Amino acid sequence: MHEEHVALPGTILGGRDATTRDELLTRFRAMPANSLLVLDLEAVQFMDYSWADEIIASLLKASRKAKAPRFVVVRQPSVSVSESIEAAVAIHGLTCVKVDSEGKATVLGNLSPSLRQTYEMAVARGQISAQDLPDTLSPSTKSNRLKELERRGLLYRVGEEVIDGGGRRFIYEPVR
Amino acid sequence: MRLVLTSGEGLNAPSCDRLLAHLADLPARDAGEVTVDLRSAAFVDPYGMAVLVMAARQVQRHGSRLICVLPGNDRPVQTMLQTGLLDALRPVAELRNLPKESSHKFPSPLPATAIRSRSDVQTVVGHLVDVTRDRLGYNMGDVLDTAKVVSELCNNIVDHSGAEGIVLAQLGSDRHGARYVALAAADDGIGIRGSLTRRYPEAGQWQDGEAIERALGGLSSRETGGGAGLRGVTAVVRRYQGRLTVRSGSDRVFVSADRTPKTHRGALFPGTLVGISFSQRS
Repeated sequence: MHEEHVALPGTILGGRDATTRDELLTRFRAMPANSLLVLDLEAVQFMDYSWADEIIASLLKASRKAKAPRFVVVRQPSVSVSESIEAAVAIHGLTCVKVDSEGKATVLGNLSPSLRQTYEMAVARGQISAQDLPDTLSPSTKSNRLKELERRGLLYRVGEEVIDGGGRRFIYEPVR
Repeated sequence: MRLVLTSGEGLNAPSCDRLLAHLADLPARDAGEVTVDLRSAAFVDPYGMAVLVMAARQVQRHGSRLICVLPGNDRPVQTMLQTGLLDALRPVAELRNLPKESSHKFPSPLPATAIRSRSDVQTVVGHLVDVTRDRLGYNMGDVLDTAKVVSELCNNIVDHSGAEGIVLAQLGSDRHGARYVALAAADDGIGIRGSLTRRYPEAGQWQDGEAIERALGGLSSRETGGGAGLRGVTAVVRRYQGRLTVRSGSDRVFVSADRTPKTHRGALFPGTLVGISFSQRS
């Protein structure tokens, strides 16, 4: 996956910063397929809800709309910054991957427990396919869960395998 | 016109209603002398102080000048000095009963500051964080939550009001020893209903209270973004068991942790005024 890191304009990020939003959206849309835009937030002391709403939610919406897979990750946000992002993305029904200082990936935003658990399983295993999900689930439920995580920008497809007896199964990796 | 606060009364939301009711009746030109006599005021809060500045500006626009007779009581005068209110009033009002210069030395975490641009907001937020964390020793979580509230309110002035605003805050301790923050942000712009009407023409038919409640719930006048600002402010106030008052047009909406928003009809406030108070969590 192609990765681009972004340094943000300052340590105090507030208000509806349309200039930064437009610059980042332009850059994001110009990235090749299978790209990851990493917002490095380690140095950010402060981010209000409006900044998170205007910039991060806009990028996540662009990620969902993109025909080619492009993803957004926030790296090392503080507790306060995470809380602003969580609140802003939840309003839009979006989700955002957060990676902490130890490299652990979690999801910000509203996500059902079953989808959250599936994402965590993908993170723990490195890759996931329908075969890895509990046998108590129907094949269509397994498939739908993975597709929903892909739609939310939390998993991406890396390959497929042929199933015994015909058909194929997609293999995913977690966005992080 | 003369508004006199009686003994024991404070410059706060109820007394401001009287002031605003008087101002609503001012003639368009040559309004004559408007005096606010605070000599008997027992206390002043940021909400009342913000109204006073906006009122002075309104009187000035009417071709007159507001005369403010300052409190005789030491405590409200100290609050006015600490919050930088007198500096904010001087360009737009005539001050009488001024305290001695020697008593002007108080630390101010958020002195009354004019908000005209995003850089003003950045300055205010940076100053607030520095003073409350480094000089007053507030814990970082509380500092950042307060800063978020201030940032949202000030950026709303820049983004939505179409006018200049003011923000000021007061820090203190309640009778249980818990530190509290009281702050107010005000502007004399187009108001919340006016702002929402830009995107939703039907908002022109709403009552001001309905427009305020919808904005608190996340309705935004902007095409981008989802109204996270006031909604986030409300969440912080509820989390801290605080109180939030939003006044715009003819209505005032009160929000607290344990109640649904309640709308009160009052005198016309041309613009938007937000008053918040909450105590530190730890």
